[in-house]
Amino acid sequence: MDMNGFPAILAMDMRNLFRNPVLLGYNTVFPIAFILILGWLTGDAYAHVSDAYEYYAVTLLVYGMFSGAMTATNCFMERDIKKPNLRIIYSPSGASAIWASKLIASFLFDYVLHVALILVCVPLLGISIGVSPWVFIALMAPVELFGSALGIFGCCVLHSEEFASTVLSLVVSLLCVLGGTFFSPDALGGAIAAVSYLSPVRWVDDTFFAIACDNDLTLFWPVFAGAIVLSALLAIGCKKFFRTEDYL
Amino acid sequence: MMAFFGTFRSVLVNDFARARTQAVASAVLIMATLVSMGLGLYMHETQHPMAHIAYVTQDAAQAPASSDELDVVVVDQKPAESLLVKQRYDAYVMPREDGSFDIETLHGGDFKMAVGALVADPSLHVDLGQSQGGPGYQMIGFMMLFLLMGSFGGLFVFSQDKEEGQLARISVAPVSLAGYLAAHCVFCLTNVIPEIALLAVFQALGHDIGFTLLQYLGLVSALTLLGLAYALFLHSLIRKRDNANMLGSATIMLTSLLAGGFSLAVRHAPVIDAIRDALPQKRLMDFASALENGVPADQYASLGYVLGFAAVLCTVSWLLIRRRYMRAL
Repeated sequence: MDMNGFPAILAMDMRNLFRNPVLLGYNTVFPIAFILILGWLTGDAYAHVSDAYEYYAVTLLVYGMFSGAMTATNCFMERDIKKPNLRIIYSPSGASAIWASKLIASFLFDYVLHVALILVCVPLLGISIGVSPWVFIALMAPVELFGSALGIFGCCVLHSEEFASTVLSLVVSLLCVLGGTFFSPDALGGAIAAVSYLSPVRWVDDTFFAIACDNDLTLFWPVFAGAIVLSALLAIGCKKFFRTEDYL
Repeated sequence: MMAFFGTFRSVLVNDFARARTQAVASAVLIMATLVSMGLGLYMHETQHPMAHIAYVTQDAAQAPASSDELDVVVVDQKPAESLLVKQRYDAYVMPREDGSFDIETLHGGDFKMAVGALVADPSLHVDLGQSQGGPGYQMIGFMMLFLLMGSFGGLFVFSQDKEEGQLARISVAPVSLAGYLAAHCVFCLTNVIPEIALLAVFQALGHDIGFTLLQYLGLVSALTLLGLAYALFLHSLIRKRDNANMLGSATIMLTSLLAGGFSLAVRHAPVIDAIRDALPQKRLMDFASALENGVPADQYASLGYVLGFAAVLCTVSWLLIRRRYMRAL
């Protein structure tokens, strides 16, 4: 792969993402509205309403990271960029530059917006993300990368952006419902708590909670490394399954 | 009339042919809904104790026993703070020398007192007023999000046609637009078959599902219709289908949770209640609740609101489609 053209393609993809009002809203306004509504709905049970926000701020940020898959599918086969992409396939940059650039662009886009979200929400809602917030923010990066890789992989395997986005949004929603994004599986106990461990969302949630509430970093490196390895596997899958004909 | 049925039939057949190529997506969609329904049934049928507490002591013999009200776990060290936030435990109870307790909880004073009383005397019966509606109401709440999102998924046949410029061709061909749209809608409505089948299985296995299958069919169809009308509206309003899909799933999630999906604790405030009452999902839940209690007539207005809401969205979509997509490109 000739890397000469890559920065230009990446810049184009980034520009497209930042110009899409729905994607911007989906990664900023939507999670904030979600945190406020869910925190408020359940806030009655708490002495300090910030404790309800704390739960939903963490779980919904993780939800946001996993739904980076939807940003990625949206970015991948955007109608407006199909024609330029078709030219890139036959240019010296090669076909791999297309999916790799989309993967990195949606990762950067989501990460930047979610970090901005934290900068607004943490002081505003009086929640804590740990004594050293950078640990929390650093661990977000590989998980965001995994979300984007999942979205691009979905597009490459299912060969249709529409279906990749429907399937992934359902899969992500289901994993999040099981993993405790909307209600705590532990509070329900028994089988629900046991089943929740099937969802990777649960593991990531637990890690972020440990960092935010207990300053406990034991799960930091396993999750960090796990997300990187899975992202790499998904990227290999993209290379294997990416078909240039899908663009025709 | 001939044009209507001719178009209806051929478009419907074509939709099913297109769906076959997307079997994976349909299977995932159905699975998600069915798992959620199983979760709803399970949550209704299991007893929830009022509180999970961690009793911090070196001497397990002096800890209170678990009861229907209180789930007690004995630990020798105070668990992590995050377990309170994650609601694994509702309170940490630490006995003092003099026989009283230190109670650490994120919940308010009433809750703290109730836990204190229960630890001191496990046979007490304390009610903090958590009610959760009947099994049918809860089941609809668990199906709602996935059914509405499923309608968006099913309407891919329309959004694809739209983006590929088929609508302009329809306007110049001897086919009926109404027949074309009706076929897409009927295609989407067939999505509810697996859900009804699962409910029949639940019923056959002797579970209390709250409604008759026919009532379920009506409620689930109303939900699907609502999702369809909304999907049609967004797809005719927003030109890019990705954007329509994303905006649709985001708003559906927010409104469904606010309307009482997944039986989330419902808190009241005048402004929020006004917003909630404007949500068609909330009104359908109201109707479901009245139906389950045997007084559907109380909430016929709500059912009318839901159907009216869907009808208005369909009409607006119809006008938008005619104005924006049915002209020569």
